[in-house]
Amino acid sequence: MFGMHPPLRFMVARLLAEGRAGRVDELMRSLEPLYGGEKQFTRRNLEEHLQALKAVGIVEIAETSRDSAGDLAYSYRISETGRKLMARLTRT
Amino acid sequence: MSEASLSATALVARRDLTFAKKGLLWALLSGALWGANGVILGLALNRQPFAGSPLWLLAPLTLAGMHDVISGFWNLLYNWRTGRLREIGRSLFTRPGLMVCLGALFGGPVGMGSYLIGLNLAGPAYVLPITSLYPAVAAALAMIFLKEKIVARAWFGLALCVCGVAVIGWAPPESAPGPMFFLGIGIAALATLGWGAEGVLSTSGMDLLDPAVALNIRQLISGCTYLLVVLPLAGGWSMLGQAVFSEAAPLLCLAAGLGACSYLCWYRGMNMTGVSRAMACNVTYALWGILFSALFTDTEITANLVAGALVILCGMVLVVGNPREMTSLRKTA
Repeated sequence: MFGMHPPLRFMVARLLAEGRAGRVDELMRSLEPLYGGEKQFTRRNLEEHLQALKAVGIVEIAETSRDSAGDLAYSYRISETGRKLMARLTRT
Repeated sequence: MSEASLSATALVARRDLTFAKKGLLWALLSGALWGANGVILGLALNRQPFAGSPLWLLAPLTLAGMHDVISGFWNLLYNWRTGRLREIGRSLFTRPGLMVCLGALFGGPVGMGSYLIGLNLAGPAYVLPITSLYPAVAAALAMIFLKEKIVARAWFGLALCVCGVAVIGWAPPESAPGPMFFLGIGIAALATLGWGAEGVLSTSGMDLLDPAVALNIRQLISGCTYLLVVLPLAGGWSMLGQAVFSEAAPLLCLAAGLGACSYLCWYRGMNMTGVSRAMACNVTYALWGILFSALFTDTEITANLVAGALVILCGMVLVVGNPREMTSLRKTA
């Protein structure tokens, strides 16, 4: 509304629902033009949003892999519940 | 076990569990801070212009309105510091934002207003046990509307929490029920429903909103509704002007700061660990309230208080139960 972007967590769910990103670094790149100048836009905060979305069943982990440093990297996708929710919210 | 030797599934499970446990800690902290908030608000109510005020409804409503407005400003400060200020405007006109606004009205003016009117019409002996049911009401609503998984053990724990809060708050009736007694009981039930509904509506909104932002919306909507709607209906702003420059004002600012922190922890807790668990942890405020009252005021620790506190603690442990159940909060489609 009023030409504003959606809230960050909402936008993360929307990107996943549209299948435009899955990994945290992809999400960071996609969201950078919209939220990049804001102090809240950190990898840690984004991971927390994803974890919260996962806890309530809106997103799920699609796959896990090891990154170059040997740490586990997660790829997320929208769940069926999340898809229905986002479709309902986008319609209204 | 080292991270390298664990399978990916085990690592995901461990991460989910850590997240849920963090949610529990936030919820527990919310109870402790709410206990401290209650003690300080009690001190503010005992100072002018609130002490001994003949305006039985206007005085506490003015206090509640000021609390939510000042608390909203503390939240604004936090959101400004953490770069979330723009999120408030963005969130306000979304559907999840409107759910939070509705939750604010239910939890703030409807819940608190009904509680105060119920207290006056039916007396604390009946109203406090009724309103202490709000965590159970919230859990039932969460199960219906959010499809939250609540096992039989958790229901038993919630029942214990409710009993514990009722034991702590109970006082024998001072007189025979008046003509408005049943109306008062009905209005107290509305307060219970309002507080329960707030948890579920806000948690539903926080599925897609940052808890700190959702809370800011809650406090500002609730505070503004008190100031612009509730106070004029309850008798006007006369007490507000006196309170702003009174000796109660610094205490109120401190209480509102603690209230802002407590609510932030509570909202985070509900978002991360579910409504029922966060509610069970939050009602430990009654236990913390006793501790802080004993430390900082001349409140006497009675057997009732200790028994109630122990019952709450047992109930909370049962609701929290096995932390592994917390990693998936809801039944999915």
